[in-house]
Amino acid sequence: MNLHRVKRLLILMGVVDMLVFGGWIAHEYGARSGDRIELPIYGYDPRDLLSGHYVQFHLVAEREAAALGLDAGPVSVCIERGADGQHHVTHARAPGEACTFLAGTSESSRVDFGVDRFYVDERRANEVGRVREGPRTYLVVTVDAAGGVHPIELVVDGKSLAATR
Amino acid sequence: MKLVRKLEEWRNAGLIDDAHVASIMRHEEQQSHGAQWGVWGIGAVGALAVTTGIISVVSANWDVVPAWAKLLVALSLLIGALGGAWRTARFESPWPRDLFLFFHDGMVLATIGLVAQIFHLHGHAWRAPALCALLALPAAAISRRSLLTYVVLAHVTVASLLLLDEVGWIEGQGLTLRFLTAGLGLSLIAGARLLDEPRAEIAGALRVWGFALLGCVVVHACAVWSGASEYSSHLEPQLAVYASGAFFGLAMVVHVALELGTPSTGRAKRLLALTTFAVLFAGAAMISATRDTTSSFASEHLGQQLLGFALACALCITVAVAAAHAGSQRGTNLATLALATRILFFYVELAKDLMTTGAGLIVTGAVFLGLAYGWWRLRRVLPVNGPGGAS
Repeated sequence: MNLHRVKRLLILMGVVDMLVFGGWIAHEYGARSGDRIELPIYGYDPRDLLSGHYVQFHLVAEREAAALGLDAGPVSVCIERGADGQHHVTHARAPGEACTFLAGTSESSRVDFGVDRFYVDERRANEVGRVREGPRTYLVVTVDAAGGVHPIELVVDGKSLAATR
Repeated sequence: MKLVRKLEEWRNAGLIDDAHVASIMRHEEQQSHGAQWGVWGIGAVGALAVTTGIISVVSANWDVVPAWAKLLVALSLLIGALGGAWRTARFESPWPRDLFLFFHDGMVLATIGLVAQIFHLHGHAWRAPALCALLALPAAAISRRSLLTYVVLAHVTVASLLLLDEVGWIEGQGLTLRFLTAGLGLSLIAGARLLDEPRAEIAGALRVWGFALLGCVVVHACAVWSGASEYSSHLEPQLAVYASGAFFGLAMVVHVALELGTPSTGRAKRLLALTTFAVLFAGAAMISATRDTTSSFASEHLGQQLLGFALACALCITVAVAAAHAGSQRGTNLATLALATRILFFYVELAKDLMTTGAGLIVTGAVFLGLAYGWWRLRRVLPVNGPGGAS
């Protein structure tokens, strides 16, 4: 392969890199610019992954959706703000129904909304390990038009652990 | 430059002639080539240390460093790697450029991980290596070495495994996975034949990876398919088994067509080897599919056990003979070892009590000793191909 062709390919690689990663990052930032809602969480499990520290948890919405007895496959459930100020699942969403909803998949009486971890600073990882779940423990997210959940902030016992800036 | 000027002066003064000048220049060039390697080696270690250090510092101050700064650093390193490849592209040695491209491949994976961490993303794990494979393709095309092709192949293999796992095709007795792995291995080897002429280094990597996949399948098939212990009690989706079997069959057909379409010596032997492989593979697959998974006692399925044992032995013998023909003493020894292990396990599987086990082991030992003696006798009679060659 001659030098000119090599350089052309290198330019192409640079352009593709910027388009792929730039587009991806822009999309993720954009998805987090909508209205914020609070989803309660439970089942802390602080982990130490090679790539960094993160907290593994379950959304209470998963438990609430599973209780609806949905069929296996893609599911969507409507959510509404409850008396505790956080959003809870109310019912399975009918096709075309207008409501704030979460989209996920149901399998073996378990519902997954694609959110189960939050990365935290190394120095805060130990604090997370000692925290218990409670009414002031929740995940701040935005929900896109397709029902996708985008985490923004993890609040534990009323204290924000981290936020995407 | 100083040396050239000095040499010029000495030649003009009549101290040395042209032949001496040429010899000295050649010697100095060789010396500087060695020194360049040292410089590049030290430079590579330094760059790696700086990169790892940046990652560690950013990780340690995850909350302090804003997300945009982390992303900016990652993107800078990504584009910087390409810049380095650009600067070194005109060098005679392709190693500096290829090292920068290798670093770029690593940064692609690191950037994907970083974005996933910053935005707390998870799920569809196969997408990350699939994207890496896609973005690493141009680097593999540019490189004059196989290294970057191996990077693409590794990403493709990992992405395929993760995707299969996600759709539930890996569960069960492993028929689907083995059919797909063997099919992929055969496809890569077939692809290598097509790329031999224009890109020998890519073809070489495809061939090595393809044979490695086939080797993994053969070893695993020998261990699982003809064994008494159950791999899994879950049944695989019928669609998955049929689709993967069809892929394997198609890869075999492509191979046979390529063999028939290419005039070369030794075609009959290769076709025979392919046919033997297909028959053994399909036979082992059938045994696996028809085995009763509710019981783990070999004695209750003696017919299947015997057939499975025979197929495993035939497979090992085929590999041993092929390796011997290819002149690979290590391959022959490994296949012979696998055969011996299989024979040993056969007795263990059939044993019901200590008496049977003892008798079986005595017979096994005698068979092994007989094989060893026969092998030794053959080696003394048959001609040896040369250093490293099998007899």
